[in-house]
Amino acid sequence: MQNVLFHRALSLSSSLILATGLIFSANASSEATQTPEQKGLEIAQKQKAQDEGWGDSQSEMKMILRSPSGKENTRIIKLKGLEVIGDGDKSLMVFDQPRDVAGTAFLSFSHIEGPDDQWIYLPALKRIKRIASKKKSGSFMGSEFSYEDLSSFEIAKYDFKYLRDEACGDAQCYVLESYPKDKYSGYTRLISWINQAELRTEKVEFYDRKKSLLKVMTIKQYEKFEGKYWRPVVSLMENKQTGKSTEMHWTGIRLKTGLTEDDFSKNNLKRAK
Amino acid sequence: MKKQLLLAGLSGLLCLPANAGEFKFNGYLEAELRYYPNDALFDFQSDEFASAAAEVEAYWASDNEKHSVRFKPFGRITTAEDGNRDHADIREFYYNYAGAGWQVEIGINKVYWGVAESAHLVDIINQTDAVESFNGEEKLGQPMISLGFEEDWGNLDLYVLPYFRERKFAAGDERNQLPIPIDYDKTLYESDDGQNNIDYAVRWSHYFGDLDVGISYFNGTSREAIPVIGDVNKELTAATAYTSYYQQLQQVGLELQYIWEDWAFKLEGTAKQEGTGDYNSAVTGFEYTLSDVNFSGIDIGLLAEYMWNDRGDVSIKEASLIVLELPADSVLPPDVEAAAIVPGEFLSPFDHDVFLGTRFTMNDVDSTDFIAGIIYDLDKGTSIASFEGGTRFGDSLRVTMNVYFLTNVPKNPNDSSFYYSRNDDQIELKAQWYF
Repeated sequence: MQNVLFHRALSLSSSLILATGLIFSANASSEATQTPEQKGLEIAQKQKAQDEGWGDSQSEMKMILRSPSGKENTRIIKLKGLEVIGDGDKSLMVFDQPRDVAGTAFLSFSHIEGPDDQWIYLPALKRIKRIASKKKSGSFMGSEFSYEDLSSFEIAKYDFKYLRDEACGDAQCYVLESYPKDKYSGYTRLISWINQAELRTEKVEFYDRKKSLLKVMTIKQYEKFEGKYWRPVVSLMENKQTGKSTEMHWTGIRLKTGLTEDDFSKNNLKRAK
Repeated sequence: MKKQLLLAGLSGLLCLPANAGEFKFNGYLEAELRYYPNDALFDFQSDEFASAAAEVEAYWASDNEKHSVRFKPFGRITTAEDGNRDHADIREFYYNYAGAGWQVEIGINKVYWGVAESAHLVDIINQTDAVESFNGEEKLGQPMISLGFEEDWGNLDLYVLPYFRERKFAAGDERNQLPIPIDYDKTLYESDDGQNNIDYAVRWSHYFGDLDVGISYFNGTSREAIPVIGDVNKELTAATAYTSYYQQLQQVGLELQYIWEDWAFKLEGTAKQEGTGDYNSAVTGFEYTLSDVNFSGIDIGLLAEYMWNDRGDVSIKEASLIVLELPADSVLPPDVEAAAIVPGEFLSPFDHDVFLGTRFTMNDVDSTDFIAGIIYDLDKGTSIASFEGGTRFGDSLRVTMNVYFLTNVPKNPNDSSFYYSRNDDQIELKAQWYF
C-alpha cells in the first residue's frame, strides 16, 4: 500500500506488526474464503515487506506548484530518511528554495502508535520548536501535498479492503481501498492502484471528509535502487476541487548511505545541508 | 585580544581542504522604511528613516560532514544622523566538529533557549541587538566555545563565553531614547575583568513524550545594561551622559512545554542572583492551534501568556558611583535619586502583565503569515499592541510589515521603561531580496 508518496522517498518502516501480520495473512490467504478486508491487508503487507531493509536514504526533491492559470512556484528540499526497526521511521527535510526559508528544517520521528514527534528549526532565530501535530491535513509549503501525505506510512494506521483487479497502463493492478483510523486525518478513504507484478503504487485517489474526490496522485516514473527498491522519480498530485497541481521530481536518490541516529538529532537540525 | 585569537584560529581552519566538501552561499539585501506617526518627544528626534541592510551566509562542510564552518556577517546603513542603528556585526563565524553523539563549536555563535512567545526570560547567551528591532528578537554574535552532547538522557550543552558584547541603544535623531545620551567609553562592570570576564553556562534539555524540559545555569556578566549617571574615576563632570552598568549574575532557568491535543502549555522561569539583589521572573501560558480551519489550509494560533517578576528597585553601590546633579534645564528626571536607584519597574516592566495574541499561518504559495497581539500591564493599564506579518512576491522577494503602538504609558518615568518611548509608535516596512 503506497498511498503515502513520501514514504517511498523518505521511506518506510518495517515493523513487528508487519512480521506478525505476514504470518497471519499467509495462513489466511491459503483459505478460499478470504474476505476483501483480509485480501486488502495482505496486499498492503506484501508491499510493505518488499520494501523492508532499505536502511537509509538521501535525495533531493523539487516541487513545482502550478495554479489553474499556469503560474508556477518552485520548492527545493533535501531529504534524509532512516528506517527504524520496530517503530516508525525518522526523516529530516531541509529547505533550499524558496531562498527566504533556506535552512529551515523539519525533523520527524514517526510512530506506529500515537502521533509523530516533530520539530521545526528556524535558522534566523536559531530556534527549534516542537510542533503540536494532531491534525495534519494542512498544505505542506503551499503545495497540494499535506503533512499527512508526508508522514511515514504504517499499516497499523489504516483499515484495508480489496476492491478488484484492473488494467493500469500496460500492467495489471490491484485496486485497494484504505481508511485512515486517525480521527484527525483529512481523508475518509483512499483508493490505490497497485502494480501486481512490481507491487508498487501507480495511482492514488484521495477522498475528503465530505467523501468527495479531493486529489489524484499519479506516479509518472519509477526507478529501481539496490536492485530491489522502487522509488518514484516523477509524480503528480492534482487537486480536483481547485484545479491546482504539484509536480515532484526526485534526484540523487541513494539508499544505504550509512546514515545513523546522529544524523537525525536536534543538534544536526542546526547544521543545514 | 581573545576575540582576535579566535578569529585567527577560525581563519586558519577555513584554509583547510578548500577543494573538498560542500560550499553554500546565500543571504539577503534589504530596503526598509520606518515611520513614527506621533510628534517626537525630543526635538532632536526625526519621524522618518530609510535604511538598507545586508546579511550573507557562507557555509562549508567537509565531505563526511564532520567539519563545517559558517560565516554570517550583517550590516545596516540608515538615514539617521549620528544614530547607532548604522552598525555591522558578525552574527556567526564558527567551526563545528560533529562527533558521534557530541559536537564542539568554536567561534562567534548564537544560541536560543526558551519556549514562551511574549518574553524570553531564560535566553541569556547572546546580547540583544537593541538598535536593530523594537521587539528585541535580534541578537549580537557571541564569542564562545560550546560542547554539546545528545544522548538517550537528553541534550547537555556546556558553554565558555570569553568576551562580553555591550548593548547599544538608539542615539542621534533616532527614536526610543533616554533624554541624555549614553557614553560607551565609560561603561562600568562589576567584574574587575570588565569586558573580558569569562562567563560559563550549562543547559540540559530533553523530552518525555509530549513534555519538553530545559534546565539551565548561567554565571557571568548580566546582559542587561543599567543606565546610571556617574563616573568610576570620580571625575566631576557635568551629567551630560548616562553610563551603562553591568553586574555579575547567577541565573537558574527552567523551561517547560507540554503538548496536549491542539494545546501547547508553556512555562519559563528564572531565579537571578545579582550584586544588587535577587529576584524571580516567570512567564506562563498556552498556544491553542486551530489547524486547517474548515479545510481552508489556514492555521490559526491563539496565544495567552502571563508575565510576572518580583524585582524591587535596584540600588547601585558598586564602583564608587558618584551621583552628579543634572543641569537645571535637563528635560526630565531621572533626577539625582534616580541615578543611584533605578526602579525595578524601569528595568523589568513586565511584572504583572498579560499577552494576548493570534497567529495566522495561511499555508499559501507565498508563505503568508502574521502575528498580532497586545501586552497589557494589569497594574498600570499600559499596553503595547503589535503586528508582525509578511508574504512573498515571486520566488525571492519577501515583504514584511511590523507595527508597534503604545498607549496609556504612565506619566512618571520611574513607573515605566516605556516612558521615553511613549510617542514612538512605529510602522516599519521591509523588502528583502534573498539570493
